[in-house]
Amino acid sequence: MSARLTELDPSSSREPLLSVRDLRMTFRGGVRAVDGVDFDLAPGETLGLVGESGCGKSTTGRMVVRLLEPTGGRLLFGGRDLTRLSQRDLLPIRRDLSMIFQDPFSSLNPRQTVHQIVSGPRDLLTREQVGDLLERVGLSAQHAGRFPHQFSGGQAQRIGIARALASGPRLVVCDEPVSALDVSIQAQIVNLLADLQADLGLAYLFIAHDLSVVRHMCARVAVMYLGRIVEIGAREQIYGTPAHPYTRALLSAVPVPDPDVEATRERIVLRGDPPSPKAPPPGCSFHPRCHLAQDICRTSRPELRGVNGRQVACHLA
Amino acid sequence: MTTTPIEAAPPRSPGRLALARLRADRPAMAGLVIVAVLVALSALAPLITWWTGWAPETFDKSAIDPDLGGLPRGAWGGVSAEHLLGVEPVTGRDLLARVLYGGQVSLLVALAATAITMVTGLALGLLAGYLGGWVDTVISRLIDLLMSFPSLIFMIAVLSVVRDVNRLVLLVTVMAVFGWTVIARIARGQVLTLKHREYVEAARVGGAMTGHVLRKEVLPGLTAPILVYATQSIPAYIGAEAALSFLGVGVRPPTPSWGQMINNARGWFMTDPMYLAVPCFFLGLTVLAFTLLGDGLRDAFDPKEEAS
Repeated sequence: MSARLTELDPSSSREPLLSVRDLRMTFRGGVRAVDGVDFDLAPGETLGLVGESGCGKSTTGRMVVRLLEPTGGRLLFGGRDLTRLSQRDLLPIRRDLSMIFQDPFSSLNPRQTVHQIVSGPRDLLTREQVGDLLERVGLSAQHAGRFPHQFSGGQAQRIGIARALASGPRLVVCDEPVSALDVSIQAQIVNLLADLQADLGLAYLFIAHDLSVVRHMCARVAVMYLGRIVEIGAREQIYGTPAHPYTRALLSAVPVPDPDVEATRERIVLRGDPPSPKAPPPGCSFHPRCHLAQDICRTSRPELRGVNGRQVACHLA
Repeated sequence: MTTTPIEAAPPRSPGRLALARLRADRPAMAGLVIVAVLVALSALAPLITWWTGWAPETFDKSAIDPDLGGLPRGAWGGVSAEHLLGVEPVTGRDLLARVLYGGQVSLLVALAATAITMVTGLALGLLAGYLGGWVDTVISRLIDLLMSFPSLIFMIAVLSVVRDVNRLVLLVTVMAVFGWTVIARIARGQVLTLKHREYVEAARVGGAMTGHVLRKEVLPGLTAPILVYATQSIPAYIGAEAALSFLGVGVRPPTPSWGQMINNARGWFMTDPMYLAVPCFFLGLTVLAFTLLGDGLRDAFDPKEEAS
């Protein structure tokens, strides 16, 4: 499987920072939240992970930082297998890994000062370092003594970003980092993340359901459906010539700002809800909602294969 | 109170904000003052009885009228410069001394029971909530078992069977055995919601181990509900001690206790109502004061207000 990915995935010409292989997460009760996910992430690169709620994208992100223990598969980070390490052995690697959370307020302990939050549980930083970080993310060093409730949502998210940068990470998992913010603030935070990436050479695993934000941020995009990646490739391919019918449906759900185009464009409307990840349908898990579905889709599950430079899991692509 | 703009406000932790709200809460502050006075009076009981000259066990035959079956001499149950709250019928023991020493017993039992239940309940609740799995199952079933037990009947049975031990220690032990369950359940529930908060996850991503997460991230989030519950459980323990002593299985004479005094006064309330009124007043005042304080604390720590 990894040999094939290397062949087909254009980003993998560089030594990947993170390699995810056949990652699986089955929760108690048999919910297969993540059902065999593979991707590579090069240093300094951004991979967008998109999909509906419940498709397993957040679970994937949480497994990458080992907040959740995968029930199967491997996570190779800088050549080391994270899944084999105990939490204690993982400590040295934790400096290279960090995470930005969705809800800026629930991700900041209301009883800690900004200094305590940013310098983290292991109290890594001096006053000056915290001040520098706060200024780096567009706050002021004087904010270090305050408490989270004294900030706006956008400011609070900047504190969360400063915390994520504190250990000098190489990979930051961004779990819906802007979806809880006002639209006007979203752009500021997205630009801040892009600037930080350019300056510090960070790799982002950017989890989001907002396709336009992902398009802005991510050179590569993976589309997830029911715990599996259905299409992964460069941004231009995914957005320009989507090959999977689910990707096309997702993209067609994005409104176009031009009313004339909006009125005439073709929309693919998905009917119903995603099937339960407890009992995914046989064959292609998307077939019950796919407008192109044929007999083969109901019986045989499509694997990812290269189509026009990207990978798609669809028999018909 | 005027509102100041956020930028000008000095950093105030949620704890300080709650304290400020508590200060502005008049009933709660009244409760706090009464509690402080009662605690001081009970603690200083030896000093006060030394000053009045009447110890709780000292009989005063001159203060009662044997011709009237032992009723106190004078109006209001024998209130005089000598006996500020009157005397006990038949024996003539000083009611002020007895009520203050009784307060010592009540407060001591209630505070000790609260302290023990808080520590035990917090520890077991934290473990059950955070670790989950079989630890949670064992602790939760134990809580269910103890909660479904008719605890008062059990306490009466145990207290009346066991004889040659320190009654106070026994009382506290029996009340603590049943009392920790509620705190454990509150703690467990809070931990279940707190452990999936993103700030707890952020600490884990930052390399925090279980002990650190529990102490620094989860426990501070529990202080408010636990403090509120503890303050509200003190009057319940005072009431329980009084009830058990009233039923004759609590504190044994000659050690005075409010419940025991109320029990003794039952037979006299037609002829000497003051004998009943004095311990009832102190019991009622103490319970009321702690309840006011507990309610004030609950309002001050209200999470809905905390977000502002």
